Amino acid sequence: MDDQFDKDLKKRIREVFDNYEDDSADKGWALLRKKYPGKAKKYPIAWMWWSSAAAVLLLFLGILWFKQSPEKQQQHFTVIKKGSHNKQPVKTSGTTNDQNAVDNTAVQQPDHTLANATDHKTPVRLRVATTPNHVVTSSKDQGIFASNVRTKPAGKTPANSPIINDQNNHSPAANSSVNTTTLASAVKPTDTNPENPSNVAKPGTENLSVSKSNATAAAPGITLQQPDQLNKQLLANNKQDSKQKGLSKNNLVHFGIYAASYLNYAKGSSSRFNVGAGFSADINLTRKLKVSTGIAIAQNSLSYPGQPVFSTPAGINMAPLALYSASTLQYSVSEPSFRNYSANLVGIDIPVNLKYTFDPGKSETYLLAGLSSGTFIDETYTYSFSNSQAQSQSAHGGFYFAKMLNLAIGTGYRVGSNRLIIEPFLKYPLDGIGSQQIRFGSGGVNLKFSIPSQRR
Amino acid sequence: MRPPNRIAEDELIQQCKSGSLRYQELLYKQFYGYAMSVGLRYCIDRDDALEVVNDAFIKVFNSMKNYDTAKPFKAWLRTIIVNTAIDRRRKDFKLQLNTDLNGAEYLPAHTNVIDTLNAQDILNLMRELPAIQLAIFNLYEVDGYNHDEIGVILNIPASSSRVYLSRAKEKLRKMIKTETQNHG
Repeated sequence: MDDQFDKDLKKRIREVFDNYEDDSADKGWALLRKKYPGKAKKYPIAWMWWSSAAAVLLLFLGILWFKQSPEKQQQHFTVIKKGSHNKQPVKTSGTTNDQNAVDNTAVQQPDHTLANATDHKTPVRLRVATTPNHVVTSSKDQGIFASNVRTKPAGKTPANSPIINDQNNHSPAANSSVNTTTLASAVKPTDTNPENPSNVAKPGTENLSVSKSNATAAAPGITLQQPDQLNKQLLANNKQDSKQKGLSKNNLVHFGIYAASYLNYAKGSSSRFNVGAGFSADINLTRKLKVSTGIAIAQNSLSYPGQPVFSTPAGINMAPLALYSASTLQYSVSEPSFRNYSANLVGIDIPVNLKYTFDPGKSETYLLAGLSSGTFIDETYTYSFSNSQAQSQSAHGGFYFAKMLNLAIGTGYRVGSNRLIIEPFLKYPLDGIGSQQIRFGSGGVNLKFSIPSQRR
Repeated sequence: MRPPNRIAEDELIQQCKSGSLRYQELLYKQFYGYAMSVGLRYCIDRDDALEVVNDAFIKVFNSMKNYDTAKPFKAWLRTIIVNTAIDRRRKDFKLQLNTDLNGAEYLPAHTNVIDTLNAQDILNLMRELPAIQLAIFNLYEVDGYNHDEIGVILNIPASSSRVYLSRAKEKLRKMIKTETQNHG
């Protein structure tokens, strides 16, 4: 009896709940969404978070890299500059007559013989890092890394140091040029003058410096230098050449983009905050003087509360007011009074400025002055009256030429390989501009982001 | 027969596996009734059941990638709901484990009354049971678990499960008899 009851009850329960319908799914889903936002919403936030983190990291690494690389370049330059008294590249040709070049780079030992000098025309690059001793003569005009040259008593020279046999019986004077590869393996130190300890250098002396007398006596043109040093010197010389030549082609024009936030001002108008953006190009005239030009789009708005400024030379066109008054008088005994006048102008500004940089390459602080020309792509003048009516008028004032004086002072900060320039500026109107010849100016700050020239 | 506006279960599940919130919503709404039917049997009221169901669906969505499509989705969903409900009421079970198991009075059953019970009647009857008896009754009689499995789930001996089930049945019989007598 009970079993049957239980079976019937179980059957009934299953039957009822298998077919259970509930129409509150929407409410249930809404509740679930409070706990479960879903990946669709989470994903962009996560993406933004990670991309922001990546951007910050890249920026940080960029700054780090940028801070380090100029130092390295500067170090290279400094080292080379110490060694090379002349600003000319290393000349390896045996035909050179430049005494300085010989002094700095040419190595010739009267006691040394360089074997296997088969190619007399090949410039020499001598790898001598493994040589235990180099016989050098002291000189008051030592070559590259001359300060590193340390003398060593001749007695410490290994007695069994291999002596390079001059198989060709080349005298030093005749040894004008040596094949690099053969030299790298063939040159071994020989101390043939043990009575002259000052002529012996330590193995660490990587560079072979030469006395003037030896260099003079040497055959012209044997230049022995480590490849690294040579490369450094070449690099430095290239840079120096660039400097000497002045500004390279890449540095002739610098481009930048900028955003401006400023207040428009005019006589009788309340100041209005506006923004603009533009593209700039700085053309180098000299190292410190540039012509700065570009193009910008800028919003300008002015608001004249109360009575319009009739006396303003750049007078507001009151024709709409007159028309309005005439028409409304037909219907109204009391003429509505003028309440507000506003002008909104979206302009294209083309400045031509002279830019004087005080300390180029350092803080890049500069002073800028010039004139702006331009036009307005949209001019809207709105007249408001006391009865809450307003009348708008659109116009186009044509192109104006050099009617705005630009004054600015700016300073730059390095941001990675780029430069962020903060440039407070003032635009002073020299005459009325726009279709209603309003004389207005602006003052604010440009945030300029210079686009770096392509590096070579 | 499946309503024509319903999306195929396989497609729903595949889309949910890819994390589509839209299809998760569709899946939720398609199985909401079934999920509530399970949740309501284990919970003390509708709000409680809804929370259980939602928590279970969140587990489903989060674990969907691991779901074996070879197995029926309903069974998987039911298991998750049951486990969620049991976990939620586990503290109630502990309180009632030590309560005196009063023997239910034997009453003759009226099987014809059973056929008239609707979902709400059954739920009302079930909610008169102590939580652990309710859980064991549902697990054993409706959802098909055996006493060993119930013992593992509820962390009680299988023998205790049998006793609680017996008490639950007796109590239900008594309640149905009482209801029958009251209504004539």
